[in-house]
Amino acid sequence: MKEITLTINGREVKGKEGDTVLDVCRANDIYVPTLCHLEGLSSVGACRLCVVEIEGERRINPACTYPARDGMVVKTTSEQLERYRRMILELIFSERNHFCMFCAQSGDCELQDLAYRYQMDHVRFPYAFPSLPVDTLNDYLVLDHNRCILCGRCVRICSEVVGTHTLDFGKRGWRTVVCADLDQPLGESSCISCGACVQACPTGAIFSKVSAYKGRTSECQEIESVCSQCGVGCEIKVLVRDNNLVRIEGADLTGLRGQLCPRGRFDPLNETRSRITTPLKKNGSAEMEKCSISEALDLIVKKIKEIKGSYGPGAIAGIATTKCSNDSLKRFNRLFRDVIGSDKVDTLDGDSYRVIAKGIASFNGKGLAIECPMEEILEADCIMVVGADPLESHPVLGSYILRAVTQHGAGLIVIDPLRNSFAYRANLWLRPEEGTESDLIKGLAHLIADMGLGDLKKAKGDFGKAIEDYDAQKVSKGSGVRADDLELAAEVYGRAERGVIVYGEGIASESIASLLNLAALTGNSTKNGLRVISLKPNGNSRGAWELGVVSRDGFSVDGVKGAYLLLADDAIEDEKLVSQLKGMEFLVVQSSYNSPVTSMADVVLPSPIWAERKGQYKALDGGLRKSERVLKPGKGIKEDSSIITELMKRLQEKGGK
Amino acid sequence: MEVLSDIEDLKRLRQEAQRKLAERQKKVQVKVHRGTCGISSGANAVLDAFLQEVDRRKLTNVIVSKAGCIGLCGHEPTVTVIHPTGGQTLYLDVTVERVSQIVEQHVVAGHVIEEWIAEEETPFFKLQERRVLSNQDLDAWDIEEYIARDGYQALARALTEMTPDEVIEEVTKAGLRGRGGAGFPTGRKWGFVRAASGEEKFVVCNGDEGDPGAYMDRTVLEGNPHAVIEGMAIGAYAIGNVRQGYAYVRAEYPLAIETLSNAIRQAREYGLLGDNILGTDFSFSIDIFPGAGAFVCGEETALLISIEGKRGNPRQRPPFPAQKGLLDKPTTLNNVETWANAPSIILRGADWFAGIGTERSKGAKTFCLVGKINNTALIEVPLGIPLGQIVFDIGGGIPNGKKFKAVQIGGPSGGCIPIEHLNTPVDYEAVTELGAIMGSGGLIVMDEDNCMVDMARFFLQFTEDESCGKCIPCRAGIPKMLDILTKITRGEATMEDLDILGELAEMVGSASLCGLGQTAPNPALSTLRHFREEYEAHIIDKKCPAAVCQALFRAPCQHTCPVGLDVPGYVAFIKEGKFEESYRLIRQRNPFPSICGRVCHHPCEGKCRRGQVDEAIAIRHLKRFAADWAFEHGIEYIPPVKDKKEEKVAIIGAGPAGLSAAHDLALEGYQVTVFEALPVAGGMLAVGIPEYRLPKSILKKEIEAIEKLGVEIRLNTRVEDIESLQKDGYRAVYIAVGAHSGDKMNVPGEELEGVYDAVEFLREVNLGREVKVGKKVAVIGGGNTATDSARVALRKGAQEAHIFYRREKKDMPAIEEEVKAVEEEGIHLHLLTAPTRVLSHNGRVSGLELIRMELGEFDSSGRKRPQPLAGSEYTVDCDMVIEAIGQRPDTAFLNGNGVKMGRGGTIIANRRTLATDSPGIFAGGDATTGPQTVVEAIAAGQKAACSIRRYIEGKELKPIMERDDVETFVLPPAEEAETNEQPRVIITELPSEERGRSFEEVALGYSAEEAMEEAGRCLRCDVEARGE
Repeated sequence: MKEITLTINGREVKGKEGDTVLDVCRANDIYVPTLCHLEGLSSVGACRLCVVEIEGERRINPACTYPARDGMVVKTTSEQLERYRRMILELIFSERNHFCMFCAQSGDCELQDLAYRYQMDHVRFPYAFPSLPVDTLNDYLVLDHNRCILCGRCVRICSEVVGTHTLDFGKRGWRTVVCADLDQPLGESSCISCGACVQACPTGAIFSKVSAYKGRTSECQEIESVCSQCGVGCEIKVLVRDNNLVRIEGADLTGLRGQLCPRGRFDPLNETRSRITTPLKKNGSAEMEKCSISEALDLIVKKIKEIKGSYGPGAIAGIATTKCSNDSLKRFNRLFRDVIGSDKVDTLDGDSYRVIAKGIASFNGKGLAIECPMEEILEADCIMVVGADPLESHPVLGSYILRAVTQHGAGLIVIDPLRNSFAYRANLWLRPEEGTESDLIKGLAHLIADMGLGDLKKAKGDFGKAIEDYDAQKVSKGSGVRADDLELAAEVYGRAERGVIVYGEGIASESIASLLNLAALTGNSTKNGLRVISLKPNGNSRGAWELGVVSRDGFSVDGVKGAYLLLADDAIEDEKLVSQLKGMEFLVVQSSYNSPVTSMADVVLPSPIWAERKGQYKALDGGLRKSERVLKPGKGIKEDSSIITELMKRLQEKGGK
Repeated sequence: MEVLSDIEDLKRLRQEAQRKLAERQKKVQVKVHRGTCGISSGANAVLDAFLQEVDRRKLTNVIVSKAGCIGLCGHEPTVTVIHPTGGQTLYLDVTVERVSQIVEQHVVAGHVIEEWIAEEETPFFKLQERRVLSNQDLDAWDIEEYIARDGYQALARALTEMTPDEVIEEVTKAGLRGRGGAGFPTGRKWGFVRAASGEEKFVVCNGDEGDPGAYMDRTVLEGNPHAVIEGMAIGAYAIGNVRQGYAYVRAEYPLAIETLSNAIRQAREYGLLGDNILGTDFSFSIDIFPGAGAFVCGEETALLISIEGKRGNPRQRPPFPAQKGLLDKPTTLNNVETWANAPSIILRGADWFAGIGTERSKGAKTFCLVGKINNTALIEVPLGIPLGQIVFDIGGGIPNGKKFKAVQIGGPSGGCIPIEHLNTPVDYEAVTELGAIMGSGGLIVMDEDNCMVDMARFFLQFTEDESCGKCIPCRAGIPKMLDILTKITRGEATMEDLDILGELAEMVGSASLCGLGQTAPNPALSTLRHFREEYEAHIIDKKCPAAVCQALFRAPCQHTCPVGLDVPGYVAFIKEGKFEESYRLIRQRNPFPSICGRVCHHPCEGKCRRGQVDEAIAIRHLKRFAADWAFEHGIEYIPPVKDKKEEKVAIIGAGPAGLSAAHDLALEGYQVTVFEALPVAGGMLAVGIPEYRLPKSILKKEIEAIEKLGVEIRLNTRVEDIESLQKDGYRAVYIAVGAHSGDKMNVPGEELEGVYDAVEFLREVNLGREVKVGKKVAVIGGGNTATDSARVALRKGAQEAHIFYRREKKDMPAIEEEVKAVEEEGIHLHLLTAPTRVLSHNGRVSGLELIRMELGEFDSSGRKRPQPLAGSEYTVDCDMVIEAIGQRPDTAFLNGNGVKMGRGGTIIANRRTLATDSPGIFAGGDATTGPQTVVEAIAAGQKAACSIRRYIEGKELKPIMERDDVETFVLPPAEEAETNEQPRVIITELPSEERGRSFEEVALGYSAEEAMEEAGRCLRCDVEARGE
């Protein structure tokens, strides 16, 4: 970028071509007050606090929108500018009901900061005291119009970053309000509760119910980490006060991975389950009692040996959650496969991953992930979402899709028998009868080939042959999707130069293989792989697969007598598995929280929660994420990996092998 | 219909269309002007009526068609009849009932119905230069009519004979500037967009006209849509890479949208829009985008965003639309009128276009002339025309003889131009210099009955409603300004509020994001600049001079009365027959009811709400009735006098100003002495106003009532020295010596015998002294003194009386009744003439040399300044000349007394407290203001009394009088007033032939029945205002 030189307040400063005057000021530590500006969002020049004098301009202009030019002479402060700024602040304060003393954001408010900076000891204008509603209907957010200054940061972030464009302005003049959709209450609107608006709001107009009144930023320690709730792996900034969570924010709000969803931003502060703080073992009267870690481990070693002795190593199974870090999973895997010698190891989401793996394998015979980075979605000109509801399962990835659609008009095709959050936003929603998805995809491939928009030679194996019969009429009849819709979908995806397919857990391996072929034959690939993304269920699902924790050919607990469940802060939802575990002779559960499975266990080991552990994770597109320890764990709580290591040591020490 | 595939086709079509038009001219053509304005007045019904009538009579040689609005909006529906034998005639105010008569007499028989038609040779037509309005007589729905009149020839020329750069060069040379208001040079704008890089560019027509009272664009779109289309096509060709244009027309203009849609469709059918226009490789089409119902969408960036389907909020520039406009592509946005001007520039050339206008503002501009104006109209005039010419010549001046106050130009974004600036040439720069803007061309004329504070409030209310709410200065600042203005109109504001208003206005204007906010403070700023005294009147005096701001008063008549008489109260008593109560109510606040009942200039009647229905209540006559009735019935009312006080007060001058102060101070218990130089008391009432207007007996009685309060009047006592009065123990001195010195004409011969000063003349007559009156008397001047002098001269034996006045009759300062009386009594009025020399014979006056005057520019009083017409001197014979051209106070005696003097010998005293710079010395009445009226003198006296009391009591002087009227009157309840038109009851007057040479009172007063009937006309708006 070409360097330019400006004179600001009599000082010569450097900037880059393409900068605004504000960019140059900020880069050179020249203070310019702003309220409506937020780095990364478009600049609108609405608050008029950043107005500056520019030589040669008849009027004063906002620094946030004015392009910097080489040789420009700017004044950011003058008696007049400061007078205007103060008056603007007075106007804001008199416009609505800004009562700082009981505002959740008091102390964390840009408006309040400016009032202090400009020593606003009084307001010369009469207060309007309008009667404005407070919308509390959303589970996580409160929209208090009384404190809104209409800067539009929430509106812009909602459309420019989140892509949902739920928020916008309604009415006009002083009656203007921020509203959701066509003035629906937030809780009934298309809002996905991602909370980006909360983070963008300079005042207390939109605030989070779970963080309100927990502490001010200045009282908190800020730690950057990543969210491990799903495979997107968003970068977070956690605010901690007295070893308590106060707030979770996107580390770089407008950056690519800084955006969050309610699971990453709010749910962790809403945790109601009771913690397990010490090891427990079942006593003679079948009650759980506290014990030392050493006692617990000794008991486990004893029992493992007994079972192994009686039934062989295959009678001992290990099941782990994929919320754990690579390190824990790696050791867990070693514990079973190397130390105990059992191959009965799997993850809680093993089944769904095997479906994906099988699909990939039948496409290329290998089964390795052949995906593109998630960022490709943002550049896509067509996105086909198949058997997935990303806004529900991976909301941030879902909003990448919305951004591509709303910001540069990418076509959105949804293939799903069920209505999902994308269906009404899609250009085209193909709704095949359940079980006919695979046929439909083959039909699309057939049509694309017919239209000359794809090259069957690029497909793998005998795909070309396999789709021969799948002409539009037949597929339409079988799937119940109109032929012209099929044709349109084929044409849109077939013509796409950067088409991305996103598929989820809702489809069979065969469909996955067909999708991969579809991407291959249309040449929708990057240097490193096809433009396809599969939505894996958990934060480290991909890591668990790559580390070999997941059993490749299926997993069952038939014949298993003893089980070790690494649950950490996950919860177990598979009822069949629960009942199977109940019948075990010996059950170890390593968990952060009490739950039905912990009450069934013979030994319970305490596990740190996500915030207490540090480690590495593999995002769903293969990117590596490193999380930091945010909270100090309680006294008896050790890293999962160190417990497992200790156990391995004890098993080996005493001739375990 | 044929598709024109090249320029030859267009030529052929033009010939064909012209031939058809020529055919038509052999028949009788009836054109019903059917714009939105016409339709709202019934033009569609009139059109139907003509069609039916022609059909009924089976007239085959008559063509009835529709045409655009002709601009006489106050006289819609209008109809043009073109008769092959008799040319073109414009009928005004056509009703369905008049149609058959027009058909019968004019269409069939060829006789024009003179009383219904517009005069051709009026300034209204002559001063206009109709360009974009030149096709208003055509049927906009027929493209061939436009083609017959060289339509699309400009486009053809541009496409085949000119390069795009040449087109831009021509438009630049013409000096065409944006007609939407900002006045940016159009050629330069096109040049920018041409130079901007981009494969796709747009042209957009801004037809989102939203100013209150402005409808120029609508009229052009309805009457001349093809000019807009052709202009856009020319612009698109000149700019290059433009294949699509949009016309953004506000949805509130359905007929404009319909007409333009039809025109676009026809142009497309003829191949004048679409691909390869006229066989060239230029392709262009236009779509209409109906506006989204927001004023702010007229702002260019908001308009473009609105076309994109988003919320129509403006965005910050730069980047400008020329770089990033519609869909971020380079875009030219011009106003309807700007586009409509383009074809004629290309067809007739830049020089033709620039042939009218001023140095920096070329061509003509349309304006909407609305408000307090006789000709509510849509006009097109050369830029640079003086504002006064638009108002008074084209607009025909102000209705009902009211006084012009200001023109609001540029709508809510503009400002007002006051009376002092009527010579302002209407061009972009001159208008801006005065704090207004040209805007799209709305001219709202305001008269004395418009309150400028209220006006500013109205426009701020509009911009508050229309602010988009994006930027804080506009969204939050305008409501605060409005709050302050509202406070002012309620009399609740302080002078500090005025400072905050000014500060806010400056900030909102400087810091707002778009034009709406930047210009929104203009109405407030310009009224603050030109009418600050009106703001101060609301704030300090709690007065709305125009009697508009209802929160400040009970009734406008009472509010306007300088002494604040309870007019609705005493009128209501008269209506009920309670004449004594009525009299007492008047007398309580006015010691001179009989006098005011005869000679007051009654400003109350000017603001009477009944006047908006038919005629104002005859308030003055009713007052006289009550006072006369009390006199006849021996009822005397002396308000209660407080306990005697030690302090003595001296009053210099026994005129109404002095005596009313004496009256009020005596009631307070002070010892009051009035010093009067003349042998009689009453001041001008005694020695200025002739007996036939104010009988001496009446005056004497009311002065005696004051003396009864213990006031001592020392006649023939000229005060030479104020200091000695103070030494004599007078605690306060009030100077109310009036203005008794006549001004001089400063012409040769003025010193001759037989030349009189009018004041002196009237005084001598009034004092009963011998005055030698000539046979033929010439009075110079146009005020009441002039009319009095002439009438007195006649009564004193003159055979002829002549009044010579240098301006027009409507400019005479004398009150209307007096001018009427002058004419009734056979006095000759010579207007637009002024004396240059008094001629003499044997040392005596023998005649006058006069020079004729012509009217030039407007002076600061808003009247056209009379200028001598060189070489037009003439003489008249006369043997007496009375100069009545002005008076001034004689205040020489004050020299060295520490009292400051101002212009014309007036004494400088605080306008509100009447205190001079010397402690204890007060001054009021004509001595401080120059010649004013009786009731103002009384008000000054009352104010002086109030200030003197506070001074003696050692209190701070107050700008507003405090009153503690003792008696409480229970007013009769108001009934539903009759609002059917019912003119006022005429007062009986001595017939002019009976007046003859006598000094008998001319006006005879109401009978009790007449008075009650007249009082019954009162609408009792006081009750409504109080919410009772």
